[in-house]
Amino acid sequence: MNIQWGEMLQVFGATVASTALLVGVFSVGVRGLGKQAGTKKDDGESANISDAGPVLCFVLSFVIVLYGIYLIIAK
Amino acid sequence: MQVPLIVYVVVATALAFDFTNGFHDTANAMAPSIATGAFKPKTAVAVSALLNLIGAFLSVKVASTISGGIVDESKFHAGTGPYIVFGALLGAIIWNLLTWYLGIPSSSSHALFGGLIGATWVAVGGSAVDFSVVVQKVLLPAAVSPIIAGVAAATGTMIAYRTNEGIRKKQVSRGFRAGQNISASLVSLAHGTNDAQKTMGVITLTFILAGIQPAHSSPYLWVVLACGLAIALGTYTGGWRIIKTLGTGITALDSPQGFAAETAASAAILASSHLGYALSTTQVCSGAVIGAGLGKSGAEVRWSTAGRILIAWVVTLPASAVFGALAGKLSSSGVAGTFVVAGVGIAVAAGVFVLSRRNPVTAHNVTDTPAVAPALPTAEAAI
Repeated sequence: MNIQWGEMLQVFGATVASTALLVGVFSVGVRGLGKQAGTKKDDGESANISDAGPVLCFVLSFVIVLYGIYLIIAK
Repeated sequence: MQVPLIVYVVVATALAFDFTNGFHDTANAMAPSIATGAFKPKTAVAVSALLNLIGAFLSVKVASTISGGIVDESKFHAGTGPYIVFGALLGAIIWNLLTWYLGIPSSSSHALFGGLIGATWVAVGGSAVDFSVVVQKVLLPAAVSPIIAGVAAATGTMIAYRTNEGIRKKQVSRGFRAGQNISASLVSLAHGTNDAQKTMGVITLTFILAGIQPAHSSPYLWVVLACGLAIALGTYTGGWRIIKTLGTGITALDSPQGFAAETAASAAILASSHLGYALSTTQVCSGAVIGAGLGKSGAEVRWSTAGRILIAWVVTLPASAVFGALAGKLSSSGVAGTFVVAGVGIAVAAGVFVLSRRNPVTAHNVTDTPAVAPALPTAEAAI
């Protein structure tokens, strides 16, 4: 009997890594938004700089999701 | 050309199976979203139904084998094949209905495989069943799937909470609920491309056996449409009993956990279909929910519920094999036998439905925590 240990490990690695990546990126985005909401009274300048962070995170998350949709369709 | 009665019966039964497949598996994609309030229950099943329908059309690469080598379909012929398929479908439907009544997320594919094994065994013989393939493609993936998804979901959950330490809970919940809408939708879409195809394969195989369409031809458009609609309708009907188990029965989920669980589930499903190692969706999703429970410090996982689910997974294959064998044998004895089997199937369905009315689970009470559970903070309390 041929048990596909290699493939099994690959799927394991890919699943854990991609989950960690997407959740990580998205979490940093959520944290950025939460911080902004907590420090609205700060100077405009610093708020502007941190604005870009969460947006970048969400864009990156969206790209990862698009890749997922691509994988579903291309199958 | 005279189309035998059994072919009509198989088409109707296949669509009925597809319907039960839909409502059995709504929970996989949507239970965490409903539990955390990311989607309202009715919205969740509507979105999931739509994505399942789209999914049915996205991938029309129907496998030339419905069982992936578990049973040798080349040994089927016009005289036995449709009865085997009918028996298998009926066995799978009965198992799906019983597990739905008990609120247990069990695999519709395993039920179908079990039915096929049983029906093939009595009609053709044990030599037509390849048990090494059963171990490789069904048993081992079933054992590995929840572990892979569970580890991924636990990792994701830890990352989500660590990253957001010290941030106001309300903000965090809102952010992850938005993310959950996307991740749950991804699971639904992937589900539609996989599961609606299975039924298309069953119907197409039967047509080929009956000489209605040539071998290796793709399914008719009406078959694709009917299968997509059946699974979507089933999904929309919402297997609330299973959603309740998966959403609130195993652990009380918060939105960061729900997001991690759904992301882990879609990652596992996509990775497995791309790296050539098939995991089973139901096992993946249940494992992800357990993992999300384990990943949050202080969260409680109800192992008694998880244990019940595990037992059902072990029993699925043999139980549906027995149902499939009986249904296949009896239905092949003639028109009367076919009607008796169909009648029994309808009676079981009606019986389970009547039983389920005694303690109905609906869109309105699906997020209530189980009465036996200690008072855990629910999603509402966390908002």
